Amino acid sequence: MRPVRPRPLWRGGLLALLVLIPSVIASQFMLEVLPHPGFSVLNDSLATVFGFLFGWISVGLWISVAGALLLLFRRRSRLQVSVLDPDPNTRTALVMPVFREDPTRVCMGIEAVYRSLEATGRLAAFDFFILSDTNDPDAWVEEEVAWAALRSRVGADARIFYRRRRNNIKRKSGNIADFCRRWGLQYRYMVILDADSLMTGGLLTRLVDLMEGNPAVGLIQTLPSAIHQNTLFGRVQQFSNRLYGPVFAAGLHFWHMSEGHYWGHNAIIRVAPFARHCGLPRLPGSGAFGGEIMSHDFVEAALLRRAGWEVWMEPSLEGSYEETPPTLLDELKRDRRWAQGNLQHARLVFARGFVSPHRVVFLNGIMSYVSSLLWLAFLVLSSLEAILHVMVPPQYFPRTHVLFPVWPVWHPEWAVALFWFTLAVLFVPKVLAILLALIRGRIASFGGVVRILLGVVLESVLSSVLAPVRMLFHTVFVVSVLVGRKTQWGPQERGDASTTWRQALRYHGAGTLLAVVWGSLVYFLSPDYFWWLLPVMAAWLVAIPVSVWISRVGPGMAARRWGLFLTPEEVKLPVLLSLYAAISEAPPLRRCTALRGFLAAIVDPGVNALHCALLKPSHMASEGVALSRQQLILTAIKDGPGALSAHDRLRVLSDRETMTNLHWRVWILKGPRARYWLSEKAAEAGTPLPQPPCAQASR
Amino acid sequence: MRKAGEGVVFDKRIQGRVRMIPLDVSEPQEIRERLRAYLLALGAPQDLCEDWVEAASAGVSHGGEAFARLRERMASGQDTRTPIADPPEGPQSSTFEISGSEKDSCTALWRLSTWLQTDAQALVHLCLGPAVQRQSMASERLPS
Repeated sequence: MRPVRPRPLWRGGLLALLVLIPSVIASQFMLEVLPHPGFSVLNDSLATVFGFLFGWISVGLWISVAGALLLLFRRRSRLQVSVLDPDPNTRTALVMPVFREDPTRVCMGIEAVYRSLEATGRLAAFDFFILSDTNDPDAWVEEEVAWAALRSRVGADARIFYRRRRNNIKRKSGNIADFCRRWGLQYRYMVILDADSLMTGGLLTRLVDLMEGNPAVGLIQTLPSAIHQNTLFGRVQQFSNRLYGPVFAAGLHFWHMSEGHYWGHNAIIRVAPFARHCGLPRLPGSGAFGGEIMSHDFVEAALLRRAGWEVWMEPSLEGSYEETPPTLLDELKRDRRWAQGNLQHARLVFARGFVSPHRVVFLNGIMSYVSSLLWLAFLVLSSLEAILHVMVPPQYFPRTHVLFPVWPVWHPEWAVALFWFTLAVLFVPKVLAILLALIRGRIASFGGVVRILLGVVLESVLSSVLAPVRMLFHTVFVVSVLVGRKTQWGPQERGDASTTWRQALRYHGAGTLLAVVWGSLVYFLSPDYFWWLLPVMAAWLVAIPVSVWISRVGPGMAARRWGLFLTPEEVKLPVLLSLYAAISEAPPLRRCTALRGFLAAIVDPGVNALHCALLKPSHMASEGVALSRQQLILTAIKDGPGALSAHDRLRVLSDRETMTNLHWRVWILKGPRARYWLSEKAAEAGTPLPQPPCAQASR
Repeated sequence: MRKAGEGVVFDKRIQGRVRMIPLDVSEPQEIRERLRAYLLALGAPQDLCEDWVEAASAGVSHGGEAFARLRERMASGQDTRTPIADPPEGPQSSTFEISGSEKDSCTALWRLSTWLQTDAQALVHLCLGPAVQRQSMASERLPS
């Protein structure tokens, strides 16, 4: 019998009180601050919206306060570690779902984790799976080549497997479900890795031991540290992740206990209950709220807990890493998907059987984006209030039969007090994080007292500039989800990318225009109120240059040279990251031709053999299918690769016999048709070619 | 099931009027160059290339024949006693069994081991995943 540790009820009650009471008071205070007693509907709306927003930011405050206290007074984890020898039958799969990721980076990460596990002496208990959902023909082939290169580096006995799904049903969650269906019975645990995840061997073995020692636990989520950021935006995010993240995560641990979060990666999962209880249903209906569940991780955690398994977020575990989006626009692109996924959870908040903390997690996720809509609504309503205050003469006798007039009274000092109080709620978590770093002696790992303080000040300034920009985008995301617009599933940008002026103009231009129009209108009609709006309007106004500037590597590296935004991993490089760096400098697999992707799979004898070996044997096809494959080969021979669409190329790549036939056919083709594949003509299409085939030695 | 192409009859009266264009290389020099290019593209050793090119191109009338001979060479170059893995059901079951014949699988194995410069014996299991033992996920059995 698994003894499940329920979360004490008082925690939820206490958090609710801590959030609700100040929110109501702040809301009432806001009502008092507003000068015009005649606009009751407007005033009530403003106060209500403000109350919601205040409640939302106070959640963050109390999570941080609890986290700081937890880290200060009680560091030991509630999860026990098994002291017994590891069970030799315990097998763990490290699964990495990928979708059009840079395969070289994926394999470098896996190799680093593999080597790190090897050093622990427990490698034999782990298998690695690259689970590809890639639907691009070139990327598919390159993934296979990168995987073969990885296998050639780590040895033929390495249990690192590559599997590509032909139909990427249900995207990432479907990819993992497919793994569970095929191989889940062979593994007691699986560790989910993102394409940019890194985890030390020590952490992986510890996670397994924790799961072994705690049979009621279904999932343990680690806190990944942000790494490898070079752009200014990325470095600032990395710095805040490392400084504030542990405090916030400890707070989540405190409030949620065994009913915690799952973020979809850098987590260990007990496979059997996951397979039994976490198959995601397709939500009925169409539009953005129906169909496949896009943000699957929260739902999977809730389903596991509903089935009686504990879900822990364990921030004290070191050695878990991930990368963050390098630019603001990349972050916003990711947020577009997350916004749709989180809003979709509105349909699950009241689903049967979920524990209250997981309903709160759903609400929290929804509020992450709806709060932007509320903030914009607050700005619109307050601007309207200010304009009406100027344009509509006050009603001194709003109700009949009163003896004395009601004067519109404006208390600027009250408004200022409320403003500072709100700011304090926002900034106390940062102060707590600095204090905690000081007390726990972590200051040196952020570059020292002066640099950490300067870093926090600059980060706060940048956050203040970016918050209104994010708010505007998130509002658009929420509205577009509400009107039923679905987002596409695209690959994530990783590494050092930068935003061009054209991109910045395209995405931030409307915001800048809005700032000019809105700001001018308020300035002319109510100059006093304009100064309250200025921080938001100014942020929208400078969004284009700021977005471009912070997306560049130059300012980011300059900050690093000055010791700003340093993180513990940069001050003292962990073994895993130095291993990763060494692997990234190792020579790549010898490629005998300059061809890449689809062309390589057809022409390059080695790549063709590899690709064919990875395909299932061709089965007897129906006459129609066989003829259409012949037609594809004929088209390819007659008009070259340019005549094949991406879909055609995928069809060619999917059939072993077609691949083999086409490979031998192109090598004996005569004259101009051969040049489509073997000469400069293909090179013109952007692919360097092997004529004469380069017999270069290993590069 | 009828295979593609079966039952197709050409009208000889029409066939006579069709201008036939050879698709394959037929010049001996061109065939040799193509064979050499192929082996170099594979990263095969230089000394072996010349021997094989000569052997494969001697007396052939078109490229298809030469490459067929090259495949024969590759197959015999590969140790035909290498066991061909045939797992019960895997993601990449029956690896190297390209086109279903053992000769083709040996050719593929030779190509792969030459390219990766790896022991062919070790490569046999390269593409094999663990055996599949299917189970279903909850939502596939029960509506949630």
